[in-house]
Amino acid sequence: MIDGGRLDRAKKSPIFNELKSKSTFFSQPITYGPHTISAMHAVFSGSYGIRTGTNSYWSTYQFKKEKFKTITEYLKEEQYHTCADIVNELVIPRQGFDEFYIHDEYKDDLTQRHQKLLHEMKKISEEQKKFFLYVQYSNIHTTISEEVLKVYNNFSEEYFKNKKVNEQRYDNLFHSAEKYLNKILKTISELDLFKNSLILIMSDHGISTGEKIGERAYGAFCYDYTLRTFAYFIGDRFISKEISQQVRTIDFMPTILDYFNIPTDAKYEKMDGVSLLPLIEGQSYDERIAFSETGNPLNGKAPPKEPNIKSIRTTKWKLIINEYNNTRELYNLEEDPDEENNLAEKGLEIEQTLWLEFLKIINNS
Amino acid sequence: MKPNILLLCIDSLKADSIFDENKTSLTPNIDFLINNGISCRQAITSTDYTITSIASIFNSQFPIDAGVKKEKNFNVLEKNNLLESLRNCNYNIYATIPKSFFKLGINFEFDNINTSYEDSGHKFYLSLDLGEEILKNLRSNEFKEPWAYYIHLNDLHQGTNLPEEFNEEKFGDGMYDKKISGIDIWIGKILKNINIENTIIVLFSDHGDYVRNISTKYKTVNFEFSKLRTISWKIGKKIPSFLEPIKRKIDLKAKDILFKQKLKEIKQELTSHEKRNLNLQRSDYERRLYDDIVHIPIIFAGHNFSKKSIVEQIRSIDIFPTLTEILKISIDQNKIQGQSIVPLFYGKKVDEQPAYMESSIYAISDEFKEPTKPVIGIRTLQYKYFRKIKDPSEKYLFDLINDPKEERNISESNPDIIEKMEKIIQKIRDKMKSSDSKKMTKEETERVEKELKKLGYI
Repeated sequence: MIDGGRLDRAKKSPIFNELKSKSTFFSQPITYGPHTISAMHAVFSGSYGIRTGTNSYWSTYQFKKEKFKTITEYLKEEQYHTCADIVNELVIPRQGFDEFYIHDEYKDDLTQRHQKLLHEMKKISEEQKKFFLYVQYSNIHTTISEEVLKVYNNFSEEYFKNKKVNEQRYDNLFHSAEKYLNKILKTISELDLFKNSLILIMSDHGISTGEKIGERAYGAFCYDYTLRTFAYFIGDRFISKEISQQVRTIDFMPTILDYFNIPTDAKYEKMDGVSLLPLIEGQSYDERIAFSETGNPLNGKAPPKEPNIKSIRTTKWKLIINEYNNTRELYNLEEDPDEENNLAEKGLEIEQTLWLEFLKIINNS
Repeated sequence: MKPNILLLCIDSLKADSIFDENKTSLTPNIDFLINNGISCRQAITSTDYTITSIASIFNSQFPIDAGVKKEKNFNVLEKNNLLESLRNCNYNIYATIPKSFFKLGINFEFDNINTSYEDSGHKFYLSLDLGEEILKNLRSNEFKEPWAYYIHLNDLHQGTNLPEEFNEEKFGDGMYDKKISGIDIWIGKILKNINIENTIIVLFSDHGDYVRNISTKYKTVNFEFSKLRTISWKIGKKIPSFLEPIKRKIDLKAKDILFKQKLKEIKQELTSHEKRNLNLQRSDYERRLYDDIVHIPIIFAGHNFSKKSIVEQIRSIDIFPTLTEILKISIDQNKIQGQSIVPLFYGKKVDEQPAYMESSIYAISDEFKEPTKPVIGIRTLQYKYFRKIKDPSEKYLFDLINDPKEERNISESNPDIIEKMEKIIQKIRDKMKSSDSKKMTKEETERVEKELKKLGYI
């Protein structure tokens, strides 16, 4: 998982484009939460944090583990050896992992560390065992934390006036991520681990380079530069193609379960996500609404405990509900991908349609 | 000395059936309570289903996802419910309630031995053994003071028979009103067996009902429980549950045909409220939250109460905090959603609180393969709003002041009012969910804060 990986950079990257030729590339997966904790808890459970309990930076320990089963738990029950290497214990649900490592984001060389883990997984597979390995590339996050989060606030003039500097900073970080990915893919190939595997390369959320005053990095707003991510699925059933219609990152888990014919456990709550295999295989598939939410700290020093900005999105439209000041934003994403022209309260029927979809999600949660 | 408490719930009793000046039932004993107590004329229940309603009252909490099925042996009563709070103040807690309540989640250890009666036959049980059983309890030495006695009477419930002794014109126009008269006679007997001055009597209902009888100066139409319906109901009970969806489809179709046929026979113009009452059943597949269902009576009588009518809107969840204020029992206000209405007893103002309502388990259970149609809503003194949960485009808004019978749906022309109501719904549900979710301990909060600092988020 490339923490903070922007879609626009992936689309321009030769490394990612080469990956695209070997995979099913999703160019419009929408994250539930534009920050790692809520984003990845949603991915691991296939469900929105509004139901699972992990809907903010603060709520890792409020994940309702007795009601929501994670992909790790499913795979563990299928006799997979499960291993994770992540930046912090808060970022993913721990249940089901045999090995759960926290790397030092300042000191550890993630390329070497993850290559080593791949070698260990190879040994496990040679013992006729299956494995599930989750690794987080956190270096983009680390530098953004040091050079942006700790230096500026969400309204710093110095930050927002220097967009070129921000972009250059991000490009350098993304370039390092490309090098990391290239080496990891090479190692997978050398170890012959592409065979008989499902490999998912994804990002959890994007990162701002100064697009909107009020958000210097991520987690404050629900605009597309943080909500829109990338995902590349590699495996026997994943033919080389790009799927540009909207999907949700909560759909990844049911897709994996479907791929391996693992039935869902009726003792747990039904997932919000749905399998994308029919879409991948060219069958008929109705686009699903993507719901996202986050907690804007506003003028505070810490993110709030509950979300105060919500978003309902389709491929073409997005309705943002700013609960902190009771305003709304509506964007035509096809004509206005940078979300600059707010069409809310202009009497457009789509606003009411999306509002009703929002109510369904809120009240079915 | 602490007063005794009689919690008398008359299942399916509508507010206007006892408060309306033009009522046809004969209720000298209920009238006595009204004339010697505080009658809440605009009391609203939280739901259309008994168990959820009773839980809501005893917990002083709105239902959320009303009655979604839980595992066996679940308990709908929260730890600090009204009965438990009374017990903690040395009250002895007794009950006479339907046997089915224990299976459906009312799991409380009452202090009497015979707490329940068999209720599967839909009969007017008061006239069988039930009435005498209640009187025997009140006369016996088994009841130790101070006691709180919860009686739940199902005699008015849809489908119960009308004993011949009450089948006379003087008892009311239709079966529903006649049954109320019959229940009133037993209320009189109960009152004779208690020390009214030393008992707080709370008479209330869990929900109302549609009454299939219209009797005015100009119209008489009666679609009340017929033999044919009794037979079809008995047959329906024997159909296995996996055939339930088919049974419901047939039932709906049959009802629709029968209703249209009967309407043709009537030569009179009916209002939409009248048609609704003749046609709908509370347990229908499609639920609604009309006042016929949610507007219930609440009367506080006995003890030191004097006659007063409260016309402000109150909720059934307000019963618990009101009683505890009267009794000077302190409770954790953070664990309840109701508010005490004691200030209203003395003519003081209390901020009107919206009444949140949901329809019940049988509308949202996954057991039924058909798409089910539960509703949620909000009522204020001025407006009633409800909509389908799964299809919010189907919505209803009524101006209760100008349209008390809820005949004109003004939702399309009042989006701003709907928006306000939706915000109220969201606020209430968010509050319920946050109290439902696991709270972080101090250690957890500190640990999270430390990690978030490491990550640069604080």
